[in-house]
Amino acid sequence: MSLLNKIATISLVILVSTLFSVDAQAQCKGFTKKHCLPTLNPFIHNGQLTSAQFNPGDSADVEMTFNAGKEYRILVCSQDMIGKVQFKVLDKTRKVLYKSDENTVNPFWDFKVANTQQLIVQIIVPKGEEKNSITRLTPSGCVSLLVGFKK
Amino acid sequence: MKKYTFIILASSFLMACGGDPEPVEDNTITEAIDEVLTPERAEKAQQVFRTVPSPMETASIFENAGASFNASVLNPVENVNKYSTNVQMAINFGIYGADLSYANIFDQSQASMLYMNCSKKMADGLGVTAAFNGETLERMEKNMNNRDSLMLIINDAFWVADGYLKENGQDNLSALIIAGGWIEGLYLGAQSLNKENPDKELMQKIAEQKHSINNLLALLGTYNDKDVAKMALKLTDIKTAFDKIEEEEAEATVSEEAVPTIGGGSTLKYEPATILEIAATVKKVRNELIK
Repeated sequence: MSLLNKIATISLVILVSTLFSVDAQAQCKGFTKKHCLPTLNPFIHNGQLTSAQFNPGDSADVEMTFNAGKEYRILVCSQDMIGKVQFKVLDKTRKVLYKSDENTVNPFWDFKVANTQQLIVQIIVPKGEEKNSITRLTPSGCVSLLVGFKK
Repeated sequence: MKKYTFIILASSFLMACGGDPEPVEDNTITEAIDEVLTPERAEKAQQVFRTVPSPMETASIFENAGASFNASVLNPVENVNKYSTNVQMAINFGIYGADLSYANIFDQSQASMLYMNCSKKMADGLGVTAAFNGETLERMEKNMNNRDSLMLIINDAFWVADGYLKENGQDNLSALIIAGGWIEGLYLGAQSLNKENPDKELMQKIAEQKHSINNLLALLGTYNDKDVAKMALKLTDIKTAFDKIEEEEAEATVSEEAVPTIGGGSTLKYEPATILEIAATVKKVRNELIK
């Protein structure tokens, strides 16, 4: 393959990846608005858009501030194809304060904080099957973390 | 297994939602420590990103603490024509967005309308005409007296703007919007302080923003952009004032009530003079940004 062809191929791969990523991001936003936000009711969404494409076995840590005097709901919502996504709530020392049930789809937890503090929400995507047996493609799906509060 | 953290840009504001979720089993546990990563290992093994409260949440916190609405402290509407560069427009999009949130939280429909127009002008200037298009404006006008619906619409508009900027490789402008919004939110809360006799609850809520400034600086630190770096430098002055607040840590616990309460965590210790210094520093930085 000539150098020019190689450059053209690489550019095309980058362009397609970028377009796919942008499209996936937009789809994830749409999924969050349609399928996840309603589950926050009667809590008021804190306004933070927290969603990304995940693969089986992925995990992510999100550090957030929770304010004293408010009641909160943490909700983790995901597309079916990546299984039952779970979450843990950890304090600064990574002590586990809460762990969602592994059999629950789109788990959530309601709680209050006595003092305003930083907590870590750890999102865990089950390992599942790494690749689809027919297409041999690794499934990926949108995962959203939403936080709502009551005044 | 890939383990990573992701950046959450608190791009916008509050929403109210519908629908009833299924009940969930209470899995509160207080004994285990996450063995996978200690804090030191977590920091070392991966980047740790933090979130910043949205202006709507900040406005709600200050409203609950007894802050009152004062239209004279908002960024004047006539300033909207001063901002011509993308950086100025992004910062002031965040600032006007915070003013809009503040007006909405305090049920000020006339001010909400004015600041919605300012936000639209900044969004349009940044090329995000879809954020406040005709349909959005019509929905806003129809729901001007319905605070929860308006929150939903405002939130949607800022999501559109944030999405557009990221999809067009302008994440740095998203970061500036967040920073502008956070500074304005804190400024508006601090403006409610009575210098002679500052309210204790309001001082406490200002002190608690110590967590957020650390998060915001960490977030800005992930960008390799000179304008974001300039913003971080301005925020460092505010952080210096916040650093005078002492933090005492206690072990976190979880109560066994129907709605569990997480106890422990950090207790903040400060003198009223420190809070007044923070208020003065925030005011100085904010006034430079709206020039």
